[in-house]
Order: sequence, then C-alpha cells, then structure tokens
Amino acid sequence: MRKALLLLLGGCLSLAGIAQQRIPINVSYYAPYLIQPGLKVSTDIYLTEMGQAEETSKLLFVSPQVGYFSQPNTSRNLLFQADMGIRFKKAERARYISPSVGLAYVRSTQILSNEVNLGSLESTPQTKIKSFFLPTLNLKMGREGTGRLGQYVNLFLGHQFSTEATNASFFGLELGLSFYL
Amino acid sequence: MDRKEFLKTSLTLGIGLPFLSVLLESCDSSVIEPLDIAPNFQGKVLIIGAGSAGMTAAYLLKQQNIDFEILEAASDFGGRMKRISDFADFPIDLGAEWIHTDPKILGEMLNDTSHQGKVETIVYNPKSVYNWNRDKLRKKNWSSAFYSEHKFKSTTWYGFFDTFVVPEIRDRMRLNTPVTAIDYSGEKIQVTTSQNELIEADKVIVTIPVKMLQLDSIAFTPALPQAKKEAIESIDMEYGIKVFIEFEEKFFPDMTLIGPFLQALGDNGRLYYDAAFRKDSEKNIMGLFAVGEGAEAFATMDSDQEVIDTILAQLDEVFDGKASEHYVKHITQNWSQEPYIQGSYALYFEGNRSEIQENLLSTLDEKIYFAGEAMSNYNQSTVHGAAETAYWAVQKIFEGQ
Repeated sequence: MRKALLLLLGGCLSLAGIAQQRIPINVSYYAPYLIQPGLKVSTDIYLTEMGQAEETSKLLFVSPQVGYFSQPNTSRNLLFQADMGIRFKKAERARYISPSVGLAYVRSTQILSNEVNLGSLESTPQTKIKSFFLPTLNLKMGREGTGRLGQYVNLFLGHQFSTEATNASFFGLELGLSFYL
Repeated sequence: MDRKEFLKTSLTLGIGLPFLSVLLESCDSSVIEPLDIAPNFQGKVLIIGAGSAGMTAAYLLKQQNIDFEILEAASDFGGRMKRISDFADFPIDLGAEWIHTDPKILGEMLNDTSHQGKVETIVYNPKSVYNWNRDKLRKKNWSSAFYSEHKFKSTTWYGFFDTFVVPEIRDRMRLNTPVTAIDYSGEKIQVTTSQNELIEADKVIVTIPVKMLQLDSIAFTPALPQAKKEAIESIDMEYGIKVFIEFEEKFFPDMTLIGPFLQALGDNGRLYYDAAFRKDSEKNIMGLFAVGEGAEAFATMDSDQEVIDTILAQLDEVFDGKASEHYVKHITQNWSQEPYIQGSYALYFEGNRSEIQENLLSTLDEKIYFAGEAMSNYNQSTVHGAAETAYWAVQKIFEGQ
C-alpha cells in the first residue's frame, strides 16, 4: 500500500506543470457522518493554471490523502484517497474555494463480537476486515494568508461501494489547518 | 441528561454532532460501581419480584451472607426477561434483548473480580436499514453509522441470569407467590401473600414493575407517602409487544423502520429486524419490536391470529407479498397482557425528572426499599439500569440507611 501511495504521489508530481511556491501539508479533523471521529493528512499539488478571468486564478490540483476514522466500538477504518479539482482564488482575497471529485479506498476493521471476561471485565474483540471504494464530491472552502498557516473546511458527499459490505451513502466534513512549507 | 435525552437533544438541535460518537463512547463507561462495603446489618431481607433488580439484589445479599428470600408472583423468574429456546436454532429473547451499554456491565453486575465466566456478545450494528413510509420502501443504510449496540451471541438476558445468578439464589426463591400487602408499621415488617401467608422480615426491597405499583397490587400500611405516590403516577409505562416470525427465505434487511423515519426511531416506533443478525444461525427469523403507540394496535387485539394476520399483511405490502409466501411460524409475546407486568417499561416521566427519581427511590422508614428499571436515573428501561438500582438498595441496607 505504501508503494502504491508513493507511486500515486510520484505520478502527481510528474504531472505538475507549474512551479509550486508553497506546498501545503493539511491536517484535519475528519468526521464522516459528522459524528465519526478521525484524522486526515493530505497535500495539494497544483498541476496547471486553467486561465485567469477577472483576477480569479483557477488551478487544477490533485490531493493525495491518508486518513483514519472510527465508529466507536464498531469499526476502525484506514482511508487512502486522491482528489482532483479546481481551486478558485481571487488575487486580492485570502479565501479560496475548491470543488473536486475524489476516489478513496477504505480498509475497514469491523468488530463483529466481543468475548467478555466477567471477572476482569476484559473484552476480546473478534474482527473482520472489509474493504470498500468511495467516490466523493468535495467542496473545500479555505483561507490562505501570506503566512505559513491556513484554515479550511471541506464538505464531502459520496457513496461506498463494496462486494463484501453493504453499500451506503457517505457524507461528512473536515475541519483542517494547512501548514505551508 | 440520560443517553436517550442527550441523543434527542443533540440531534434535534444539530449541535455537538462532531463529538457525539466520542460522548456516546463515554456513556459506555462503568455504570455500576463495585459494592465492597462490609454490611452494617443483620436480619432478614425480603425481595418482592424476581426480575433483574430482584435477582441482582438477592445475589449481592448472598455474597455477603445476608439472610434473604425472593417472592415472585409469576411461575418463572426473569420478569421482563424471557426466552424461548426451541423456536429457532438459537435462543430468542422474548423480552429484554439488547445490551444498551458496554458489555463489561455483565461483569460489573456480578460484583466478583475473581469470576471466571465468559460471555460472547455481538456488536449490533445493522448494515442494511430500510424505511417504509408513505407506501415506499427506501434505503437508509447511512443510518448504520449512527447506531451501534450489543446483544448476546449464543445466550439471552434470561440465559445470563439463569447461568450466573440463579444458581446462587434459587433455593431462596419462591415462584407463584404474589404479594398483596406490606405492613411496615411495626418493628418487623409483615408481608402478606395471595395465599394469605404472613412472612416477617427486617427489610423489604420492592422491585415489581411500576405499572403494578400504579395498580395498587400491593397494599402498603401505612400508605405510601403522597410524594412517592405522585412520582409513581407520573411514569408512563406503555404497551409493549414482541413477535418473532420464521420465514423460508430471507427477503428482509437487517432493520426495517415503519413510519416517518425520525419518528420511527423514537420511543413510539415499530421496528422489524433480523433477529438472527450475527448469530450462528441458519434460520430466517424476523423480530417485531414495538412499544407505546407503535405497539398499541397489536397489544390490544383480541387474538394472536389477528396480530399475525395484521403483521403479515403489513409485511406483504412492504416486501411485495413475500411475507405470506415464505411464512413458516411465529410466536407472540404481549407484555401488556402479562398479569404481573402489564406493559413495556418506563417510557415517559411527567414533571421534574430528578425530583420524580428522588421520590421513587426514597426509603420508607429505613425498612422498605425500591428498585427496578423505572427507578434508575440514567438507565431506565434497561436490564442493567434495573440491576444498578438493586446495588443502590443493597448499599443503603448495608450502610444502615
């Protein structure tokens, strides 16, 4: 999986058509369904400038992401995701907006049962790993100042598909900080 | 704010959502603190009712070698815990079924850190969730992300007590012994049974369902204080019914909610569910769980045939006639018609909740103690909530209060 990620990142970088002055490292509180706690780390790689109209820059970008989220006592999930979208930003404004589409692979460790020791109260879970793919539509709204720190919120809506788990709608939000290198 | 109120308020207001699951997990922390005080009491304790609260109280008294006796009105112990073992290839809970907290509560209830027993529980997190509303069946699988509880895998709540609690207390339990009167005016408490037998005790723990207290099934002398009477009357213990149906084929999802989705999730909902979910079973068993308004129509029907005919007609409408086509057999448990139960569980409280709870739990002359699910501050309507109140009652007795 690590090799796949490196390949993905390498591929994105090789596609990069413009010199990127500031590379963001995004760290976010990732909350599928708004209530499932998680963490996501990502970066944005700008591929090409899509043209400039009325002082609004349009940058095509890809965003490789790694995340973790859980449904307490029920499942723990690792997520590998890549988004592609356009970042709209007015020159004189710090705010930007980035609609994008994404595809994630989620490896879910689901707790099916527990064996409870009635004396020690220790619980031994029995788990099963299931995987699903997750295409998403994302809308990221952020603020990028001239400093090294930015903030953003990302809303996402998608659908999980799997041959070994029940398909379901997927939605939530991310609240994140961008650290510009 | 209890777990139910917290959920309702949070979801209604749309606040606190990002942290809801974390908070719910914290709701799953220890409910019952270990009872490790030396009893400041010698004498006989009489326990009225052999449900979760009554049997837990008896078990705790047995651990401390206190003299006790349980009087149960029905022909079997369990109260609102009941099982059927020969309906499917796994035992089915006809009464209390879900473990509404962290399963380690099962160990906490036994108050014995050296206990060697083990119990397997399933994570009850239905994946396929459908909603039948306005003549349409819609998928709501996303709701699976908002709900997860626990159930026993190969036993039941009744089976748990039968295995780990009853063997310790069975010889002091009398079935078919309804209590009709409790006189606590003298030094000794005098308890009268329906056979006019008079039993004396130093302390009495009353654990009968709150509905039976409302119906004055036991005459207290002196009469119950007005505040306690009002607290008892303020509780709404609604209709409750469960039906299990075996089908030849599994045409139904893990869970089907009837009616407007959010309303169906509430206390008055009607829920069809796969009773064999994550059990080691080859049978297709659907359960119906309904309380309050959702149960009233069924619970007040004249015959069991009318109940199953109505259910099959509704399921045929939802699942294109497959229910009648694949029906094999069913069993109905109408809790509203159980003579010593007469309902489901404490559903609503009219008035100031903490005030009501305080009056419900108040002891009469340091002689009569009350326990049961309705008396639990935060875990009413649950088996572990009832057990929790048994701990409180026994602790008060041990502390000489």
